[in-house]
Amino acid sequence: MSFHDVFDRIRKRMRDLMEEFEAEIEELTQTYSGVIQPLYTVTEYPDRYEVVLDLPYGDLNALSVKISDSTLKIECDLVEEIKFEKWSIHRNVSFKRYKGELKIPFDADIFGAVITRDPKKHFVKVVFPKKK
Amino acid sequence: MLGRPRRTLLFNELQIHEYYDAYATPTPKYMILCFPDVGLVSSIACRHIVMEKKLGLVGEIDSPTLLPPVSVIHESSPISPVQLYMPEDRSFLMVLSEIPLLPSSVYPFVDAISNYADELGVEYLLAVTGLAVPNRLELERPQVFVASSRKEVYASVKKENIEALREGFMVGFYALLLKEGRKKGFSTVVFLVESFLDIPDPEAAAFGIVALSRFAGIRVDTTKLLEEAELIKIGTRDLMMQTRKAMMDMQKQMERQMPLMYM
Repeated sequence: MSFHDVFDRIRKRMRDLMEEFEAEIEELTQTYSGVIQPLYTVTEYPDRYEVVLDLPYGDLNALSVKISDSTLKIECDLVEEIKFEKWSIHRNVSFKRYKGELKIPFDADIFGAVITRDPKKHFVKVVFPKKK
Repeated sequence: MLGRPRRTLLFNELQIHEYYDAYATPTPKYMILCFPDVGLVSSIACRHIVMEKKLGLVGEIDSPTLLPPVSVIHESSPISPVQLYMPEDRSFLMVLSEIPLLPSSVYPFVDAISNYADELGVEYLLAVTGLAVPNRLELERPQVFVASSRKEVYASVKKENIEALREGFMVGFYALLLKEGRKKGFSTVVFLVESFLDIPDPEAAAFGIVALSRFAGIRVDTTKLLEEAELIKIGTRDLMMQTRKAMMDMQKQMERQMPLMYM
């Protein structure tokens, strides 16, 4: 292994650690301001990607989904504020909104994206066909 | 607040602290095991059983090497994140973990818990967990499967519309529990409910509770669980994120592969 390879590895590891650290700080900052990042699951099929976002208590009438080149941004208000008063560090925090973004796979066709909502179960599904 | 334990048992690097008389009668017939896993099905189901059956905290499992330096504070009492619960009638004992295990801790936990169950004279080791399926959102009624170290269990649950898990990989705590159970001659039964992989799934947990309660004859009403499903999903969000990381470390994605010897 050359000297450059070693430095490249160290640089990559440091970059990964910084990204992880920044994500955790972002998550904490959002939580304290009453914003929750939604949980999601991504499934890859031979012809498409399916992203399912879980928005419990979400008001899907107040849903905003923006898709750009490489990210899917989602924002949604909660139907009512949620408080966990017995949970000491969050006793003064009311959760009011979902806000999150996730990276879209490079071969996903963002112009063919189809968004569906399940207002009863508070799920949003975004299907991206794969680029041909 | 809990005081000092009545007895502490050592199983290699694990300590089981008892706050109850382990040898009083009746001996619990079942030990229900709950470690965070797919869709938090196990955690949500067992938390609900603790609340609904008003189980008492009777012990805790700790380790200076296999668990992170964590105390959970409940009712202002600092305890281990891995706790033992039991109902008043002593019909079963539950081991419930509030944190996901590190991959290197799984085997020592399975070994210690199965040896402890043997020491107490427990007949069955039971668990409910999730089986990740990509079409979970479309399923109105998730299917329940069963995996067991005993062949006769498959026939006994067939009438409940519970299918045997016939082929596939299992990864994590319950995978080792089944394998070790078979090798050591324990009766282990794991109910697997179709669920989301990394989104908390209270609905799947309710189906798991129904399967478990029918098998073990433990009556548990799931109405409240389904009513509070949305709140539970928000409350367990952070645990789901931690569990997702732990599952990735454990190569959980291997469960989607077809075994080489499948035919």
